[in-house]
Parts: sequence; C-alpha cells; structure tokens
Amino acid sequence: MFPHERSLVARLKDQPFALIGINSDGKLEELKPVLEKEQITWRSFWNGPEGTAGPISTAWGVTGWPTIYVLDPKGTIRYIGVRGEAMDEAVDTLLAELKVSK
Amino acid sequence: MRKRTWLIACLLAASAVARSGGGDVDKIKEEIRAARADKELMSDAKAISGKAKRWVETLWDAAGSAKEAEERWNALILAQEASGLGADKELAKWRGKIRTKILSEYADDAKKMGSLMGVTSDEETRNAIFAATKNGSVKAACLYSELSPLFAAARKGDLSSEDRKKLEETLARIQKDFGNEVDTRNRKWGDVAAGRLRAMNDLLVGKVAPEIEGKDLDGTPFKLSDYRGKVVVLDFWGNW
Repeated sequence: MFPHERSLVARLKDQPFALIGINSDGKLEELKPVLEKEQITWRSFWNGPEGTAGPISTAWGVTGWPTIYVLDPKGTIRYIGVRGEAMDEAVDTLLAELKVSK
Repeated sequence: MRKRTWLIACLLAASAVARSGGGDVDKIKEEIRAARADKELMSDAKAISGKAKRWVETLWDAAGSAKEAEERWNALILAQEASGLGADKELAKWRGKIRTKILSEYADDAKKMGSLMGVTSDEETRNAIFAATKNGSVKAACLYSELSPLFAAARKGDLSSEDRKKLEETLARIQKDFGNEVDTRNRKWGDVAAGRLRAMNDLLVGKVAPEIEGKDLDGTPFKLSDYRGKVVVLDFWGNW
C-alpha cells in the first residue's frame, strides 16, 4: 500500500492534490522509523494513543483499515473505498474536472 | 527425615496436578483451533459433538479446581466456546449451565462480557447478558453486538429498509440510554453510535465531508479544510 501511495504523491506533486492520512497507530514512537523507511512524506492526522479506537476514526464510524474517501476541491465526497488503480483514476478524473472549470 | 521426603513428594505431586490443570486448558485451546480448521471433522456432527463434550467436561473440572482467577476464567470461556461446537441436546444443556455460571460471576465485567459475546454471539446469550448485568457499558455492547450482521449487510449495500430502521433505532437507543458509558477501548458509546450513524447517513458520495481538526504526526495542528481547492485522498491507515 505504501509504494502505491508514494508513487501517486510523487506523480502529482505539482498538481492541486493532497494525500491526507489519518494514522491509527497508537504508538507514535514505533511509527516514526517506519515513516522514514517507507518514505511516507504525506501529512497525517494522528488518531491518538487509542489507535483504531481514536477520536477521528470513531467520529467517522470507521471500522476497517484502510478506509478511503476521495474529496473534490469543494470538500465534497466523490468516491469511497477506491484503492490501487481505481484511486488513481478517481483523482485524475477530479483533477481534469478542476482544469475544465478554471 | 523420611516423613519430610514424603511430604515434599506430595507437595511436588500436588503442584504438578495444579499445573496440568492450566496445561489442559492450553492443550484443549489448541485442539479446538485445529478442529475448527478441519472441515471434515466440523461437518461430522457426531464426531465433533463427542469431542466437544469431552473438552467441556475437562474444562469445567479445570475451572472448578483452578487456583487463580484468570485460570478459572480461561477455562470457563473456553468451555463456553467448546459447548457451541456441536448441536446436540447435551451440549445445549452445558451451554446454558456454563453461561449461567459465567454470568453469576462476571456479568459486570465489560472486557469479559466482550469475550463472551465473541465466542457466542447468539440472541439468547445477548439477552441473558443484558438481563444479568448492572453495567451500562455492557448493556450497550449487547445492543451493539446485535447489529454486526446489519452492518455487514449495509457494507455490501443490501440492507433492507426494515433492517435500516432497526439499525438506526438501536444506535439511537445506545446514544440516548448509554451515551455517557465508556466502552472497553475508552470511547463513549454515544460517540461510537454517532459515528456509525454518520457513516451511514452523511459520509456518502455527494455530501460535504465533515471537518477534521487535529494534529499531524509531528504535533502541528491542522484542519482538513486547509486543503479546500485541492483534490484530497483521505486515507485512514495504520502500519500493521
């Protein structure tokens, strides 16, 4: 999962695009070396020490990981649960929409 | 001198018996795991019921002679699990007997009741726990556990309108009656129920995503709305 996200972020680095994580690892100190090793450069909210029972995932009713939402520039949910190629396609479609509307 | 040697031998033998109690439980735990994975055995009702009865009897005795509280609990919960492996009358009797025992001792212990619902999630068990416990968090967990199949159907997109109504009403009841109770993972039941209702009704294609305010992994505060104007992939992830 990290390699795909890494390549998506790299490919779209000059585009109006952001990958925002909500990280549900309860122990930050154990996560830090992973960020470096996997070159996870994108920004994440931290879900807190309760891990998968943290406040953000609870407020969003998340019960499975990963859970993906794709939002357009207005913040509207446009796709849910897209992974791999489907995620790329969703993002590309929304970026193309944005170009047309400008 | 001879008396003393005899005494020591007796003590050693007694402690070996006590140890073998815990050892039996571990051994049966492994056997149950193996049996569950054995499709042929599981489809042979007579064979699995026979094994289950022997396990249940051994575990019941192990619970009775356990020296430590945790050892006793482990034997009882495993006995409850084993009693559900077969469908014959004798096992059904055991199932009721073990459940009554468990509820008479542990009904207000939220973690233990969570384990109990994990091994027997049938309606009868849930109702029995609900009736026996004085702990609001356990009551909320009973109601919530009833919803698992409905959540699964909702995920697949084939939730009937009747089931949707039940799902929403039960979550609303959890919010109203047990909203301030805290679950075994430190969340308010009200927040858990609200999140599930929100995911069902508001986190849908075409709806505006709710704000997220929090801190990043370096501790810097930020908001989801800081990224308006950009296409955003929101990724609930973890390193596991």
